[in-house]
Amino acid sequence: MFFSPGTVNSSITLTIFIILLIASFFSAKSLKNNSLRNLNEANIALTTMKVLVLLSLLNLTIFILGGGEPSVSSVFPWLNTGNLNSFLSINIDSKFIFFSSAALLVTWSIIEFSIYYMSADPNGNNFFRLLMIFLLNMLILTSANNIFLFFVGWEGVGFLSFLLISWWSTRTDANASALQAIVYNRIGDIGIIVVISGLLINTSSWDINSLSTNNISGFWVSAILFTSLIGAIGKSAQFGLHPWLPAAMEGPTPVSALLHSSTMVVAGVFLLIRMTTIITPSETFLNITLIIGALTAIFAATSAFQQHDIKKIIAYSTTSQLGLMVVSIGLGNPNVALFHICTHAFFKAMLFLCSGSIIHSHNNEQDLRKMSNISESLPITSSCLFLGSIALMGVPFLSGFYSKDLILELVVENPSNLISFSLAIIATFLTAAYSFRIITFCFLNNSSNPPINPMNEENPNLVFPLVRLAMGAIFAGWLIGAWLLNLPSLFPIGIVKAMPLIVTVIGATIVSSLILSNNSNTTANTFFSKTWFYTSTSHIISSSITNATALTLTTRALDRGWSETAGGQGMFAVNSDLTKAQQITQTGYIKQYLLSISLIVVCILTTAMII
Amino acid sequence: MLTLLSVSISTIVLINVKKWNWNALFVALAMMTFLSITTVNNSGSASWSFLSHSLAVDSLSAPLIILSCWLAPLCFLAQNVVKGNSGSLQNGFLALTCSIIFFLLLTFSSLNILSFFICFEATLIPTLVLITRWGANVERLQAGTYFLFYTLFGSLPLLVSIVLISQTTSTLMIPISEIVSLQGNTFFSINIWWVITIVAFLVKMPIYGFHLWLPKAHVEAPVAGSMILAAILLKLGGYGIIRMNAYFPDVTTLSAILTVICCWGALITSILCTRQTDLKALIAYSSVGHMSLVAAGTIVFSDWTISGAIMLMVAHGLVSSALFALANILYERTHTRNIFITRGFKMITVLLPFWWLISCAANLGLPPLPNLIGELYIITGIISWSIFLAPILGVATVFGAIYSLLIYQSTNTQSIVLSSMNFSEISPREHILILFHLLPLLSIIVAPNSCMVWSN
Repeated sequence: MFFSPGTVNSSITLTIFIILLIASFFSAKSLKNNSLRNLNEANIALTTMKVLVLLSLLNLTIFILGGGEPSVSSVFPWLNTGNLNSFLSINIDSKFIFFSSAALLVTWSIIEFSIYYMSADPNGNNFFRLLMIFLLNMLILTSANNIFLFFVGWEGVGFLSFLLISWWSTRTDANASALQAIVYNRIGDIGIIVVISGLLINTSSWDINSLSTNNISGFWVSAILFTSLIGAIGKSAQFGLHPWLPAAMEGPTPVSALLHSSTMVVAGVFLLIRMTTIITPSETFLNITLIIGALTAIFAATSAFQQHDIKKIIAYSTTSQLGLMVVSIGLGNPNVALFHICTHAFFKAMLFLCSGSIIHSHNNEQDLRKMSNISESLPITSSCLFLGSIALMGVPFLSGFYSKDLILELVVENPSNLISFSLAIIATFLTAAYSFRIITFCFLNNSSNPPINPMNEENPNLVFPLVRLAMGAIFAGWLIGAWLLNLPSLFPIGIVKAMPLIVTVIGATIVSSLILSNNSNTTANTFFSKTWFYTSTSHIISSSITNATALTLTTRALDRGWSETAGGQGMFAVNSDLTKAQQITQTGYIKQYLLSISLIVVCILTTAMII
Repeated sequence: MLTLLSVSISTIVLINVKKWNWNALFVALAMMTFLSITTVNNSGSASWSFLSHSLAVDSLSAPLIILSCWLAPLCFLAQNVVKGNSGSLQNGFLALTCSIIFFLLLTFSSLNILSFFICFEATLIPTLVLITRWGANVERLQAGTYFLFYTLFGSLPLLVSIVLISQTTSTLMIPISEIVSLQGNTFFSINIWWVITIVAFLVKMPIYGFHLWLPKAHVEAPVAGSMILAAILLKLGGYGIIRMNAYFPDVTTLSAILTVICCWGALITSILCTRQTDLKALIAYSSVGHMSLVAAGTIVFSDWTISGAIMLMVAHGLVSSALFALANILYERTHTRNIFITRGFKMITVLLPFWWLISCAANLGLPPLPNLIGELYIITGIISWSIFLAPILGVATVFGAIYSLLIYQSTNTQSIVLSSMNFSEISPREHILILFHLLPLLSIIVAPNSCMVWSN
């Protein structure tokens, strides 16, 4: 019997959804007896992830063997009212298949790592449950064809990021960062709401794909493109709405590894990939996207170079890589952006896990300057850290090389944009610089940490995820690039091909030789270390404006001022004044009453006589 | 329909059942809720059902009727403090709540504008007594005055307008309101006629500018009063505008101005919420913000916005009522409404933060909760009316998210301030109370059509 691969793919995808949904509902209290209810949530999560990885690889295989045709399947009729005919439908295409496989592989490792990292947490079960729900939302987001379903995933990942950042909820910083994340995401969501409205107004349908078939006015096409760009800027932390991503490092390290490096933050890029494949983007849109991406890349790279918190360095490096992905969209090559998403997921998650391992071993110390000598004390972590760093720098034949080099070459091929080319090259240089800054500090031989630190990496839950991701960091690029995705083939001249590598080597050399002597507090250092003063200016200005508006304008001037004066209190004052004025006449003297009566009579009589 | 009404009347008799009156009433009202579900009309068409001489239900009023029935037993669950009082006081409270529900049912199911108006006004008196008698502080008297006079100020013009309508069209039946669309002699007369008709509802809703009574009433009312007020009485405004707008299809100028005012009102109240320190006032202002959006939707009066408005009214009714119930749970334990003192409950309670989380998420419009569906429909309708309102509404949603999550964070996270507080455990009654507020949201997600009206 013959099954169409599309049907099989969508059933497998739905199975993944259902498994995730069920797994997130398990509750676990204790490990005392062996009934299913009392299984440890961590073990359930881990087993689930193993099953899901198998399923997603099966999905990938069937998809590739079946010819890679995208298929749309309607799951459930929903919101069928009036002239609207809509289904909750999912769209199984190469983007979803690749992303889901990469995301599930990475999540598997991260969840296993969390068992090690969160072992002392009293609410660990909830943590795994939230990660499961997050993953469900992420997969819904990437597979959705119905824009409402897409928005469910989009908001869901944002909200779970809020919950997970504020995981240690008694810390004020964690709460503030969580709120910051949701604020920036909501600003981006304005864009998504306009996209949804535009879709509904113009096509009367919830299907994203219907944008390609219907005739939509030029105004709405550009409106939808630019508002989805706003959404992407918010979600993917592009320049302007970026501060939440470094702040989100307040959350536990597994959360940083899963949400803020490999899955959630690429949702914005994913949206742009979707939109630019459905709508043919205009030249202006592409240029603006390109500039935003390049600006983000250079900004984040310079900021990363001067951070002292190891997680913040990696966070800014993530922002910088996201900038590169947006650059490749701006160059009109969404497939390359997808490729970079997949490879980046592996080595960036690994870098985060390495930093988590180091932080855990250094007794929750995050300052880079206090870490040293890890090649002796944490050999596996340190080798993975090195591997991840050089993969990030784009050293040949590791994963990063395949995707990142492609983007840089595409930048060169696009002759009109020397600015973005130079920005991208500088970003590459800086990538090497900050990566080697981490390496130099961590591999230094004079140990600067106290000897009582519980250095130990013999926990299998730590080692296996790292090694697995290291495999990914070595092979994923080659595997996806050479066999699976259709990528543009470029034949650059030798100097262009060698350029990123040369720049990388120079950067690494300069930094590792100069880093130790260059600790002075120069203006430039402060400028980059304070991340261009963006946060310290924009946050203060916007929050003080908002607070002042909320207090003086809306509360005092309008609510307690005009509304009261024109409403309740004002009316009371007018009435009481009038009554008081009228009370003057009520004196109790018969003379005055007689006088007023006679005056009135005289008035009436004269008026009557005149008339 | 008559069954529903007779059940709600019989509750007043049941008050006399000594000792068991709470349980008897609770059961009766719960039965009424089950009965009311038969009124739901999933076809999505605007047809009337359960038609009698003067009462009927259509897909606009059915969700609101069910909401009223649903909230009644929950009010009893919430207002547990009254049980400490003497028997006659308890009976008074029960009678007031039952009579509010009775009049609400009549209001939503009246076929005649005049009887609609009378019942609309009749809900005022029991609510006033509820606020001024069972409120906690002295300010309740001022709150009662504000409540009474703001609402009465709006409703007198409505009476004039009803007389005029009756004189012009010789009928006051609501189902034929769409046929006898009114024509004014001049541009001004029809616009002014329209304004005096809907100003009562705008005050009741309330839109920004006429809202001062609402935070006061909410803050001073007992929890049952707050819940009924937020959940249903505010929705009378939206319902009334939708009903009366059918008479005035030609009004465009003033409705445009009002829509813009409502959108700005939504923004202003959301900004205002970020600086509130009083938990109940914050929730009340957030109601003003949401209801301003509903008002904008009903005034734009397209299929999208009306469906969105009904959806948002029902969803907001459940959610804001849940928020008030939650605020009361904290108030009963801490005896303060200040959100800077009531914090850190994640450390000592298990399910309470979860309820807060769901309610706040629903309040900010997290998909797929019905609040978002409603907001999305309204925003879509307004944007198709004018794209320039998109940034205002967008910023309003941003601030909506900020204050909703501020409520969640300030009550649940961080460390406990009131260390000497005598915190009794959250009882099953309270869990059930919140659970039954949130469960209907699930069913609306599954069948959103039940809260929508489509004329075609």
